[in-house]
Amino acid sequence: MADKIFSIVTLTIAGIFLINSRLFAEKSGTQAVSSAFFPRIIIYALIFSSLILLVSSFLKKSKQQGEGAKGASIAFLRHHWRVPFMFAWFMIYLILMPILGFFPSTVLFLFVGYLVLNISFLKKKLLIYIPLSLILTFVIQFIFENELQVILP
Amino acid sequence: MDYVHVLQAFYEVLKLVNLFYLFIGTLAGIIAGTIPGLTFTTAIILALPFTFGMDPISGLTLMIGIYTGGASGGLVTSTLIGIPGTPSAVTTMFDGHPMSQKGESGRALGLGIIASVFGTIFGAIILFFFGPLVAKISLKFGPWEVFSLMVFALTLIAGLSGASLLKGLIAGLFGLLIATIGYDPNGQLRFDFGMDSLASGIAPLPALMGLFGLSTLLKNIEELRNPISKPKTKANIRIPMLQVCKDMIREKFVVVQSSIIGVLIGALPAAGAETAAFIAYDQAKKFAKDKEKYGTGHPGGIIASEASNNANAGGSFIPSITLGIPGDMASAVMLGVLIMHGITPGPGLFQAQPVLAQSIFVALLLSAFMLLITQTALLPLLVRISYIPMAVLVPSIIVFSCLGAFALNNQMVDVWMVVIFGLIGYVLDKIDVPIGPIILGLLLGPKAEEELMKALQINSEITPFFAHPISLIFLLLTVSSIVLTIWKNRKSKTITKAE
Repeated sequence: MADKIFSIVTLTIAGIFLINSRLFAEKSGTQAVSSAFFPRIIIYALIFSSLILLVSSFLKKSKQQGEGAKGASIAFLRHHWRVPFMFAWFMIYLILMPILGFFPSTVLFLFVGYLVLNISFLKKKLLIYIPLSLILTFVIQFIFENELQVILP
Repeated sequence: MDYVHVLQAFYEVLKLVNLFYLFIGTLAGIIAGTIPGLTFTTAIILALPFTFGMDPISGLTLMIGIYTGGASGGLVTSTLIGIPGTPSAVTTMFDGHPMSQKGESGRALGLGIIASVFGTIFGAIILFFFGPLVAKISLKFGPWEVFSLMVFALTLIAGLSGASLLKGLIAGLFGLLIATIGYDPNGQLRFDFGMDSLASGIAPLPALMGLFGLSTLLKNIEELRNPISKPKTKANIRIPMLQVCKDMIREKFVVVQSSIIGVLIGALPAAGAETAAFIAYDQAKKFAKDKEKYGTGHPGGIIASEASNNANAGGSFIPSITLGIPGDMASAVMLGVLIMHGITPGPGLFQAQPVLAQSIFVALLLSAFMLLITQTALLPLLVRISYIPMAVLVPSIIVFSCLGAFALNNQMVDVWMVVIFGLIGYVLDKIDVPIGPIILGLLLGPKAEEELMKALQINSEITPFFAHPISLIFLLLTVSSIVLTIWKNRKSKTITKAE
């Protein structure tokens, strides 16, 4: 199932790029070949390889098909919910950073991150994570702003 | 060879500030290698923003320190807890861990450290003699030869593809395709889809940070349920130097043989330190008189693994700096660093910036001594560092990589690129699509197109690609590489079916 989805996605991407390449398909007087020449070689190769993968994925008997694969995905997400959570939390952090500023958003991100990723929750760890988030954010801000001259949001 | 440039390179690298960067780099590399789940490739990416304000030699010195330290750092956890800190330290575990369980942790670690030092020095010497030679030959290459070389390098995608060559090929083509986003060699804007942020193209570094940094961290979250068990050995380990020296003398053949294997495998583009370690271990075992003792704590097993994975660094720099083709993923990242500093790795580097080119060899050589001092003196600290929980490391490193990407151009768009490529890397890994070929395509694509355009501008026919002997050799090597990979894949499938 994964191979089918992967090949369909790559075929779609190749299709979008192929259509877009029409915008610069004409060569100028100084060019030996147009600007679409090299990308189109790659696009055709990508379409060809993706089609082979798609056909072979239909021919191959998958161990996990239909409901089995769906069930496995749900079980994976239930077991490893921290992965999508941290990914989403990272995106929220990036949205919050320009609004709240670097320091408060980073302290919040680190603190929640430490708590969520800690398998065995202990109250005493709160006493470690709060100062750790504050100190680490301060150190990072100091290094980037003073040593690397990076103006943080 | 112009030895004045070598002396100048020594003068530059031996400056106090650069020695400090070399120490910091080696320490950071060892720490990254020590912590299971972190690789020195990730450490090089994380250190990237710190090189922005440095001159290129200082930046390279820091990176080489991380590279050497990281290649050796994996031996601590491999030996003490049986979990390889890096993929290239898997074979160290075969004999290092049993030796540690016999109560000889210090001896195992000492053998690993000394073998790593020897391997690094050997690699640096080979780089010193062969690097300029390869560069001199490749200076004679025209656009036909360089393009054919790039095509050959792209077929090495097979080496990074693992079990699925087809998926690796698709990933490589995807990398090549996204490398065409932005302005082409003629100044024509392509595939910007109306977005200003895409006009300058996909920068390789945020893509690297996402594909290797963020996706690795997400994978590490999955491992949180498997906490690392602490070893029974004390943190205060002492290395019995006399015993280690006796072992090294007894296994001198293994030391030299494994270092040669490490350099040779490193010089093959995209082969990697883990391949070198496996081959060196296998060869050491085959030639040993007491081969039955391998896997039970044999000194030769540790020496073969560590000498080869460190010698690999010197070998991998040969194609990287002379031809602009990365020897492995870590050197691909370092290629990106050089490009970011406005340095074009390739045949012209030894002519255009000879001191910088030679300083790579000097830094590599000195990093061996830095490795010896740092790893021996800080061993008890390294043992403790290997137990820093992932729950603390993952969010902290995410913030670092996010700021590293931001510091590239002071733009949030680069950070969002890290997010997008991080997600792509994680999802592709889940469906067994190799990530390495994407990077190879992204790094080699622009150069391949540029050379193809130059060649076609001179002669619009494709016959010169076959008429030029060196170009023809590369094209023949390309075909052989593809045929060999298909044959090997079929053979391994047949063996698997038979089993």
